[in-house]
Amino acid sequence: MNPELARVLVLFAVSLFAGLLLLGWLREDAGIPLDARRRARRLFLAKLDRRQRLSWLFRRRFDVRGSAGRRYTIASYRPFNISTGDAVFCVQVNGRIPVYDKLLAQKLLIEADESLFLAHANMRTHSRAWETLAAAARSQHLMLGNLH
Amino acid sequence: MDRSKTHVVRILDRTGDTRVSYDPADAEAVRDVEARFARLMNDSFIAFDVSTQPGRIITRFDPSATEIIVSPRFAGG
Repeated sequence: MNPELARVLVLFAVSLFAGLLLLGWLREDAGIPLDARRRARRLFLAKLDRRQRLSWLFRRRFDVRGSAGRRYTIASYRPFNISTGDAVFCVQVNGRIPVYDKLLAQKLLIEADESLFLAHANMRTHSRAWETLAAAARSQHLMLGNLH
Repeated sequence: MDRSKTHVVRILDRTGDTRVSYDPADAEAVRDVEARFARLMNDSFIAFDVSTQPGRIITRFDPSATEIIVSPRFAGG
């Protein structure tokens, strides 16, 4: 293939990918007033520590330590945006609220009650250990009436 | 801004967040915030006391908490 054509095609593909990502982000926040989004962003950034804030600003992801000590990475809000080395998790925040509020809520949940996070989460993993952990968390919180 | 209103409940909502500030020494204000908090809990919201790091989940209003963030519920994706 002509190298010039290949370069144009790669550039096109990258632009398309970036555009689709941006579109997904906008759709999630569709209908939310701009000042509300800004307000949510300010609160979200204020609740990150310095390291998390820098990580978010430069990499659009940050690490949080769960209440039971495990480390998770939270990326831009979308399905399965929370990960560890060997598993990805999906926890949606209900309601039409800005995306930054949803990210903050995910962070607070993991830090405050990792077990409740695991009970809520839809998970993809090949690790039997995570499956066992999540099943135990679900049973526990079902008994406590914490799952709706 | 009223400097005696040292405590705040932030309710995550469509506006970003609604801030309810109150003076913990003002019994009437505390009662009002407590009633609002109870309504949110009945509506299946979840509350985090973030006065300390890390925060903790609370199901009953704690007037001594300097900052509470109330979020809509979670669901598996």
